[in-house]
Amino acid sequence: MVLLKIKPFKYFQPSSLTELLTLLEKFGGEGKIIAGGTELVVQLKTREVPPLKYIFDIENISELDYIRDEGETLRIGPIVKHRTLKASPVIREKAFILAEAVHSLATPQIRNMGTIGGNLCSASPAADTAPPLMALGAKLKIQNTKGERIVSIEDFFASVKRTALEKSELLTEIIVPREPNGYGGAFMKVGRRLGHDISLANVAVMVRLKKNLVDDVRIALGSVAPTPVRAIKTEAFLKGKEYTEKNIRRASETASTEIRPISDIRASAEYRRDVVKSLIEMSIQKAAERIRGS
Amino acid sequence: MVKEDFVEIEFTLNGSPIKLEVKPNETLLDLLRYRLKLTGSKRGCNRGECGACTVLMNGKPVDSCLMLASKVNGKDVLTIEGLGSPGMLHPLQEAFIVNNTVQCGFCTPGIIMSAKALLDENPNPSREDIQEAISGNLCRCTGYLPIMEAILEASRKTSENR
Amino acid sequence: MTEAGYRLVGKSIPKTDSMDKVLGAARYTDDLEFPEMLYAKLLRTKYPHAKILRLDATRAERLPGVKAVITAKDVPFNTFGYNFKDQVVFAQDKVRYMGDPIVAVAAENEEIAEEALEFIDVEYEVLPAVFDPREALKPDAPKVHEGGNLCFHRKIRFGNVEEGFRLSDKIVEDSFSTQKMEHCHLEPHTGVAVFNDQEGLTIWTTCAMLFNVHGELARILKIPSSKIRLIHTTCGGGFGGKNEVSLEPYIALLAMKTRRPVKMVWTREEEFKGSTTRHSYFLEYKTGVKKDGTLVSREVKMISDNGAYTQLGESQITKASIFAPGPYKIPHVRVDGYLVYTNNTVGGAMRGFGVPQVTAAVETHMDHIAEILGVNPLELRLKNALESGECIATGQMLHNVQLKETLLKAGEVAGWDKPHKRETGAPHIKRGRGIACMFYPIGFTEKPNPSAAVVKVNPDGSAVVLVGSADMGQGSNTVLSQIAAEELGIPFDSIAIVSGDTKITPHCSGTVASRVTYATGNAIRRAAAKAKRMLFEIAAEELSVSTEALKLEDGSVYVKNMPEKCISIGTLASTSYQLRGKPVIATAHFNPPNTPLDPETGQGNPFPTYIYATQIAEVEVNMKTGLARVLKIIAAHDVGKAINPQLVRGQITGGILMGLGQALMEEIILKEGCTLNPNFRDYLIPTAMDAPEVDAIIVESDEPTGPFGAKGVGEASNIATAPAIINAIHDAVGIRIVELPATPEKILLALREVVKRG
Repeated sequence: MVLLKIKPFKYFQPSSLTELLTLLEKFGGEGKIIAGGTELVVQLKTREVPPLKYIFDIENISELDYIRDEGETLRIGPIVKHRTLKASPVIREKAFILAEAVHSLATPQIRNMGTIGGNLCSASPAADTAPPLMALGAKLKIQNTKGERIVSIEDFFASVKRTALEKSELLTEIIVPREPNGYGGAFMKVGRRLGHDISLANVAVMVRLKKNLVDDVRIALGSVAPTPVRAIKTEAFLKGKEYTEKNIRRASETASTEIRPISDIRASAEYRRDVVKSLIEMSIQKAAERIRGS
Repeated sequence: MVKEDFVEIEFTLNGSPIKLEVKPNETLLDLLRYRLKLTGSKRGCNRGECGACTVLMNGKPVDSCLMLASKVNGKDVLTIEGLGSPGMLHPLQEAFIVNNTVQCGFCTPGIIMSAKALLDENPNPSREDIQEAISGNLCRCTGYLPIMEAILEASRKTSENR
Repeated sequence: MTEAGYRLVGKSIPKTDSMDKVLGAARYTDDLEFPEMLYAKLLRTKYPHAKILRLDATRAERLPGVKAVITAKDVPFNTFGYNFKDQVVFAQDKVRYMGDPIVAVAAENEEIAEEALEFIDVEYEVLPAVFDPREALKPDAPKVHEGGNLCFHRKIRFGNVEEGFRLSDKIVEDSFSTQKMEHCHLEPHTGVAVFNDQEGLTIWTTCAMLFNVHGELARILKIPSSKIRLIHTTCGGGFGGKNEVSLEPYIALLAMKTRRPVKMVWTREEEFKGSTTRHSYFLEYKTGVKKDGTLVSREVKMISDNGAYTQLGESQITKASIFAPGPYKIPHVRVDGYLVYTNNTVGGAMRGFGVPQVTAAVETHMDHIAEILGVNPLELRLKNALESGECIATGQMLHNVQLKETLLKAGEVAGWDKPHKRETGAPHIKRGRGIACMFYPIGFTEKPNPSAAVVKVNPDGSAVVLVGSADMGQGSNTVLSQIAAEELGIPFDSIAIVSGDTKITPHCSGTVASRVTYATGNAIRRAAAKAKRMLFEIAAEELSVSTEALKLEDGSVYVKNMPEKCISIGTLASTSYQLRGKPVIATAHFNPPNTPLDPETGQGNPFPTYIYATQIAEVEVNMKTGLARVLKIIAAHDVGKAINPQLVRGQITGGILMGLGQALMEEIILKEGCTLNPNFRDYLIPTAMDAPEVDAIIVESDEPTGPFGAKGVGEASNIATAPAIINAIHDAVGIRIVELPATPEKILLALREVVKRG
């Protein structure tokens, strides 16, 4: 497939959310939203996305570009760039595992162009922002001309590369409960080289210990199922158990039953299955070490 | 058949204001190379994976082959052509020449732009900082070490001058 | 040369093209623009092996903006190929691999050219195909070419291996495989062609074997080669990927048909699918050793995937066969190298030309032997290393062998004798160290490969040097200027070099085989020496002395011991031209001497000289993810005399990263002839984050046959790296990866296997 030019399209650069939603209502079915464009531009060049009639650029909608600290909740606009999240003291302090994920996401150039909304809406099972947001229990606000709805991040990922968004809808806010007190968190990923790579497996963990028992744990896994997933059975297994190496290992074994990795040109299912276990173990350990006041 | 519109953009290019019309499906790289004849930024992969097209937008490195030209409206764009001149080279350019860092040179403009952004933000980068800053720029000739050494040397010169 | 040493040779003179490059002002081929220029694109086949039943391009021809459409019937002579004329400009009756071009289109702009391809109808009859060279050797395998799938069989017979095995105390057998790789020069194949009455056909492009392609093009177009001019532009890297005919015939034919300039740029995807790649290999080694580690007998059988066409494949497997035994004295050697056609991407030249593959195998094999014997791997190599006066398996006796020097130097710098520091701070991260050595030749394999040079001295004492050698970015223009200026005794800045122009510059066999410094450098030296003689003759007359009494230094000719009796070169040159009527022009050539190999025994002297190197890798392996991190490479390289040490070092660091890619991450993934990873997202090459520390040690010697003692370095640096890393991984975690690349997956799954087997 030759790869140089994008076929022409009609281009909208609305400056307000209302304007955009009206456009989506009318034309959403025949077009796509663009923010940073790091994914869509490639897809258009390779024809992975067939030529579009319309493209709606949302980067001029300043009301979508914010990080708001509301104490117990952070609200992030969808067009906030990865680099902004990486540099934000608020994110670092209250959603550390998200900061950790964007710190080494892709390359500097991509971090300067790509947005958190774009990363989520690509619905790639390997999206690096998904596991931390999932482990933090994030919710997503979706709007169209008729109103808004809030969905859990789990529900947002419908299937491989498909979100819960209708053609007339836009992801307008990422609502992140702050990391609660007494928790530690960690994000880890694995690639084929030291330089950046599409994650072969990525994991985000939040854990709280009471005495030496696992009081609460959240484990979110990426690249090992059609969508990013919470390892619910594994969490249930660990809760209340003693925080020992043996139990952590048994937990990672349990996680094996909650994933459906595939073999593709990047890695085999067998490798993903193996390495995600190690990532879970290492993330839990790292998260436990980071518990504030411990 | 989609009727093609033109988008009017106004931005600063290498220090000078510029106003023109671009096609929506035009990338910044297309605009720079084929319309404005600024051929210093290179087309290595056309997919934002090699960094040969790196330019600075509001001081930050971006892959111009992925940037729709309309997006530079209101922004400050710096390409390699706007960095130094024969009598007044940027310390990075100087360091690259003096240390025989440049081999084929195809990656060089992009890497210099990424390095400039690094030094502007972090005047005393460590080896790891440099590796990360140029991690989105592929080089097949040098093995990166001569480049990293030149950037380190340039960082010493720029911090001396502060 | 003065008592203090050379003026320019051995100095890290800044490259003459760096300023333009750092300013973004250097003009690469895609930066060239001509009025009325058209843009061309190729339509390539949909199937790896198929008959073309019907081809209809009329709808494309009618598309507004399309100016020409050409196919096989528009080509005067449709076949080409360096070793064998088995490749086609356009596939006509059948296609043999996914990159085979069928149609070329020229249009007003790139969009229209791309769109035009969608309007071409091709009807195929899919044929059974073969993708594994071992399968292709079977009698019932689908035939890629009529003559059968065994393209070439190289034999090396030295001594008697069976006798050798009988004399051995231990026999070690290993199997290996190496992968297809892509050069990934950052600048894709690009060319512009202009055709007019005044100049004939002019093509700006960046091929490394400019004169060879020039000759092929004349044959393809059926016009005298004097009417074709290939001009080598500033090049964004080659590494062997831009050696042969690529896009030149298409832009030439389109330019001739339309009488408008035509530009073609290959996409990165086309680079992976439709350009040449490094041959993959299946290798079997059987070695007989004595208890004390002395190598007695070595038998190598290897099968190389030629892909659909040969290009330089035969020269490549010949070279690989010569180096398959490794840089060791072995009394009995037998090598069988089979070059086999398949319907995969075409194997061509890639940095090292077969030697990185066999070295990866033999040096891993040597480590295995060391392990079995309980011998230190460095000691095993020192014990068996070739030395001056020894013969290699072709019967050639070597001179100026520096292998042991590189082994000892690398070992010393790495502290190989000292206990290896293994602490890593984490129990699941293991550290290891590995060593590998290699040797590599200068010049073409067993065939003449001359370089010629013209030196003209201008009346002001400056000089113009004309050479055919293309600068692929490695800096040959600078190095050759250093050699010319040193020989002529004039300042570096007084040299202007014109390189890579088939109409103006004399012949060069190519910027390949690490030969330019050596062959073209020698040619320049000879021509400069002739020019000096002409100047000396004038000076002798003017100063009334014999030429023996004269010496040249610092831009003037002096009477020895009477420095006040001198004449500047400029004066001599203008005197010669203006007063004597003799312009100072000198021509010379140099052909690296070699003899062909006997087709049955492989005996002969295939190369004039060799270079040697040892690399030691320090690696950390993460036992939980399988990821190997190369911490440091210590590289000791014999280059003869380093004309420009900084440029030599740049070749070493660059080659090491390419070897690291071969070891750990690079692989063209083919399925049923289809390239699944034709981009940088999934064909991973090392980034700055993957770069280890490198201690590059130049081990200098004086090569008597080289210019100022120089040999070369361009390819050597990427040959020992992969096995050094593989051996280091083994040292770290006890597993030996025998199928490159050693990806984290392969390493992790191998570790799990070991645990399972208990």
